[in-house]
Amino acid sequence: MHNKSSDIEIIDAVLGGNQLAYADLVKRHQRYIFTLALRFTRNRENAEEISQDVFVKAYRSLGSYQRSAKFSTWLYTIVYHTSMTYLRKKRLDTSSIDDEETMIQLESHSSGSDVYSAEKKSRTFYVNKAIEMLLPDDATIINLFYHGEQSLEEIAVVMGMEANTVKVKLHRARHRLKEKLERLLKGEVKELL
Amino acid sequence: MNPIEDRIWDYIDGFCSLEEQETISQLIVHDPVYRDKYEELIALQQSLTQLELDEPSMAFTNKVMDKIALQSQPLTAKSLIDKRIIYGISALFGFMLLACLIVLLKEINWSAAIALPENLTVNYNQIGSKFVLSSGIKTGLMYSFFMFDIVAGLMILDKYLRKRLV
Repeated sequence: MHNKSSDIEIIDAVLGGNQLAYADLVKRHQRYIFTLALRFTRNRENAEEISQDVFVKAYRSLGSYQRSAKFSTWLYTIVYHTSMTYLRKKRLDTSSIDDEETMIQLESHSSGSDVYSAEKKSRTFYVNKAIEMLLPDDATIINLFYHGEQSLEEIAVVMGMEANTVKVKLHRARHRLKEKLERLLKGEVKELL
Repeated sequence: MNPIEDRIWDYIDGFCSLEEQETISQLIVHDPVYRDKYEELIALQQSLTQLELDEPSMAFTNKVMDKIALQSQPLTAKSLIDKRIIYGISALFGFMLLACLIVLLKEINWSAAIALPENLTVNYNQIGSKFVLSSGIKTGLMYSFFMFDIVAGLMILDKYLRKRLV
C-alpha cells in the first residue's frame, strides 16, 4: 500500500501541469462540500451544481491559495460564499436568512409524527432532519465543527467572523437543534438519543 | 440560553480551563442537574459526530473534471502578478525617497553645522536648537509620515485584492 498524497502535494502536481491530479482532490473533499452546499440549498440538484462550481472556482484560483491555512478551510470559504450568493440570487438576502420565519413552512411539514415515527427511522435520520430545519448559518457551523473538523478559528475564517462569535453561534445552533429535535420527537428525544 | 448548558458544552468541547474542567467534572458527579444535562448533551454530541455525510451523484468527479478540462492551467500567485506593476511601484517609491532626500538636504542649515566649536566638543542643546529641530527635519518627518500612510494604504489595497482573488 502506498501513502496517500497530501493536499499540498496534489496542489503542487496540479500547478506543475498535471491536471488529472485534481480529480484526487475532488474525490477527497466532494462529500464535505456537497453536504455543506446541501445545508444551504436543501435541494440535491442545486447543491451538486454549487459543489461543481466550487471545485471549478478553486481550480482557477489554486495558484493564489496561501498555504498558511488548511486547504479544506480555503475550500469551505469558497463554498460558504458561493452558497450565500446562491441564496441571495434566490432573493433570500442576509436578513431573511436570519429570519426563522422562512424555515417555519419546512418545519411544520417535517414535524408530522405519522411520517417520521420513531419506530421507522433511526436517530441519524432525526438529527439530520433537525439540522435541515436550522437556519443555514447554524447548520453550517454544526457541519464545519463536526464534519469538517474545523476549529473555531478556522470556522471564523470561513464565515468571516470572530472566533468568539463563532463559539456563541455554535452554542446557539446546538440549542436550536435540540429544540427542533424535541419538537420533531415530541418528548422522545432522551429515548432516541 | 441555559448557562449550565453552555458550561457543559465548553467542558465537552474542551474549551474551558483546567480549573474549570475540574470544577465541572465534580459538579457532574455530585449535582444531579449537571449530571442529567451532561448525559443529555453527550448523547447529542455522539449523534452529531456519528452523522454521515451526504454523497453527491456517482458521476460528480467526472462532471467536475469535464469542466476543469475546459479551463486553462491555473497560475501561481507569482505569475498572476504583472511585473510592470511591481516595477512601477518600485519606481514610485524610489522617486519619493529621492525627493524626500533632496528636500531634506536642501532644508538643512549647513552653516549651523559648520559653526561647531573648534575643539569639537559637542553641545547637544545648541545642536538641538540650531540643527536638529531645523525646518528641514520637520519637513523630513512630515514626508516620513506621508510615506508611512502610503505604505499602509498599499498594504490595505493588497489585502483587498487578495480577498477578491479568492
